[in-house]
Amino acid sequence: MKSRMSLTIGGALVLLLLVTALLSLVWTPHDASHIDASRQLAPPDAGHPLGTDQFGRDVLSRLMEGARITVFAGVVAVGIALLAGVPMGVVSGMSGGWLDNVVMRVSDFLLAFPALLLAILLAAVYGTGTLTAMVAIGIASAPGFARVSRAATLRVMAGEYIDAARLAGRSRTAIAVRHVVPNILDVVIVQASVSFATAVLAEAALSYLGLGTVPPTPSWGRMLQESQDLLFSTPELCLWPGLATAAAVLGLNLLGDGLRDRVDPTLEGVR
Amino acid sequence: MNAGPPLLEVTDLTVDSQATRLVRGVGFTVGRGERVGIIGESGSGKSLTALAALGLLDDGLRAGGSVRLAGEELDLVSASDRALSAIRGKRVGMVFQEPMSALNPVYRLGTQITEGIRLHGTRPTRRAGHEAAAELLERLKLPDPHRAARAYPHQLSGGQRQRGVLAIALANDPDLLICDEPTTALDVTVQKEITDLIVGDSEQRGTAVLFISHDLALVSSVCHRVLVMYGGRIVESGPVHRVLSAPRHPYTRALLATSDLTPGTRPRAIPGIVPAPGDLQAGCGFSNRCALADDKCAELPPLLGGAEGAVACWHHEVPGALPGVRQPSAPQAQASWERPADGEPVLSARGLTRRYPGRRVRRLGRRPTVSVLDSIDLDLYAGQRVGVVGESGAGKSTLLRLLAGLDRPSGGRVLGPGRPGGPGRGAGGLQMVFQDPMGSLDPRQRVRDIVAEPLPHRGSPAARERVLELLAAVGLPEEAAGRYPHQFSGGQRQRIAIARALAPEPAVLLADEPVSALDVSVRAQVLDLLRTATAERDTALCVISHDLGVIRYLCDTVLVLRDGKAVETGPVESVWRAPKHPYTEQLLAAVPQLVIPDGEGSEARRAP
Repeated sequence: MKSRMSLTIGGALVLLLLVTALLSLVWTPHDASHIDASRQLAPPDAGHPLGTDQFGRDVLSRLMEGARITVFAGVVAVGIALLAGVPMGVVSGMSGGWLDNVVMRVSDFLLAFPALLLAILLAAVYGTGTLTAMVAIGIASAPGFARVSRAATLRVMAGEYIDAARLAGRSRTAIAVRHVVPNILDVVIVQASVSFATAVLAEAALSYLGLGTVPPTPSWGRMLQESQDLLFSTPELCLWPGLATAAAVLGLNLLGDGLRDRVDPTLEGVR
Repeated sequence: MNAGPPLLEVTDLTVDSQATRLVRGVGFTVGRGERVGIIGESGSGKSLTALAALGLLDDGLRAGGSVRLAGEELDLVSASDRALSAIRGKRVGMVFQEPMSALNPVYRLGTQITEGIRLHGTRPTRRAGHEAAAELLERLKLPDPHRAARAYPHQLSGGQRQRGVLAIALANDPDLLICDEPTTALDVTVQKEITDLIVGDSEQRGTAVLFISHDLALVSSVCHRVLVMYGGRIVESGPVHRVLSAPRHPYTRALLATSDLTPGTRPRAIPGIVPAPGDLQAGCGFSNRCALADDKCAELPPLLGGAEGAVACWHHEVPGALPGVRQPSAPQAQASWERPADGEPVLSARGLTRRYPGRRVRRLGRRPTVSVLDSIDLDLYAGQRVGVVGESGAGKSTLLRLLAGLDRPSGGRVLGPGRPGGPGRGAGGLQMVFQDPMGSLDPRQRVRDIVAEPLPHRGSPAARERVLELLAAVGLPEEAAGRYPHQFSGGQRQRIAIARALAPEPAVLLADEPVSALDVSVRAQVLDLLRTATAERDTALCVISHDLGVIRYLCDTVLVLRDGKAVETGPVESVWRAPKHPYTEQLLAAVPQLVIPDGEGSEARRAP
């Protein structure tokens, strides 16, 4: 019952995020980058339901376009981390021995390397931009996935059904795909939902530092940064992107929890 | 023994979880110095009864009814935790099943023993405390008690740890000792030592014992009186000799019949499975598995009786063996299995050795090696059933893993299926049944995919057909194919595992403690299944078990392992009757036997 609730609420919030991002591709109330010097810091009215910022840009439109960046950031970062980290962890956990040592030391090295430094490095080589920033975050998150999936793989490999699969003549790849991955899915899903949330926050932080999304493209992180100076005069300006980020992160975490319980057949009766 | 008011009086005890009633009104007494056994299978409520009596139930479980201890004002069921603390450890001691988890790994054994003394009154000095602990350990016949008192739990063997737990329980000379499956995790020889200590202490000091076990034979060698529990109720009670020689309740009768693994008789398993507490029908909980059940059983039978015991059954007066429970049959041909004159062994091991690197003595010194298995020779012929017995650490599991090719030998070799020079893993290959029927089935796969795993064309219609055929062969319905492992009981899961192992028609079937995780009432079902399934196709079977009764029932040849070496091998019956090696003799002597004496006061004895 509880997990169904989190699945529903999480799903609804994430769906809202996706729909907003998609909608912004075809329609926003105003041009999000259009500067209207006559309407700086206007309070909400019929034309601008959330008002305008210090450059007279429509806040709602910017929020909608920002959702695009948020989704993009999360998908890129988590995708990279997932695709690199999970195979690393599974191979490491299944093989043991020197290969395990090598893979884990590489992941330790990455873990010790500050994500921010990596982002600066990549920005210096490839230029600033959301994609570069998110590739950096993705690479930096991969060791976390590797660690988590390795620990889960070790637990699975200790099970007698792995021995049974070996006796059934299954190849190592088949064991990895058919037995290990389905059984570590629960921890990977939770890790993914947490990483997605981290990536959304990291995008905001990097944009704030000028290493992420380039102006005038709106992102929730940039909006937060830009409204920071006006915190005391017009606090609602940072309220909107803050709330949106919080809702997206909460939605992703709830969805992750709900999905984890969903993929566990032993909880079927409980649900 | 029964003079005066009882020491422990339990009246109408109930335990409820959120949704279901787990213990459904249990009442009994324990007299001073009396040893009472509670027998039951998993889910019968036997452990909950004991835990509830001490107020040790987990959160989420609620107890009702009343539990009174002589000389105490309060009712232990409704007493506060604080009030109970004064009684627990002081007047009532408790011994748990797992000696490792009952001890705190970061404290020395002596400290843990004196903690109990310290908590209840006297505050001995450090030295006096150590002395007291050592003295207790000496009383429990632990060699070098001073050293044991200084040791940490991980430095002690299972038997030593359980003595430590026993020492903690006995530290304050309690009036009542509650033992919850105290020897289930231990080897048979150690089991005997521990139960002897419990009985000895009870005789000397007049400690009453509440002894919980699923093992009828063990209870019969320890207790005066026995309570048989089923579905959260006591179904029969009485003096041990009466209950075991003339059981009245159909469940007790069936349990006795199915526990008797003497070759030559064919213990028919109790049909059906032990029901989960939530699945119990109204009226008599056993009626759906009972041969005598009729319409009357829809009404709950009361527990009625006198001094010679009580029984809760409408039909307890039906005499003799129950129809369909026990079928004596001719002694089986298996007892005299002979090596085929012309045959080649299907699996053959020569000089099989497994060593592990041990701990370095000096920091930079060479790593010594520890031999787990030492030069084992073994031939397995088609249709032969070999049993490997030995205590924990004897190398049984290592041997089986080497035979299966799941581990590499340090020396020697295995010729046979799955090996160079032998047939592959498909038909005519080698398969294995594991100990833990939950751990050996992938929880994320449906039974259909689990059973089909060793088949060559898993997805094909032929494979699907074969799966249904196999499920039928192990006595599972067709719908089972679509379900997940957790939806089955332990015995059913082991059948699924057996179906998977039999799927490719292997020439060799290895089984690692196949029934040790199962309830007594389904044990015989699984053993029979293993026997008939292997007999049908002349499959060679190699079973390891710590339970000599299982080996004797199932196998024709036995191999006794001790510390990685084979000490004796031969036909089961001749080894059973006339063991040549003193270790085998010791093993056999330690096996608890069902004592069904003619009169009172008989000693435990070993079957011929």
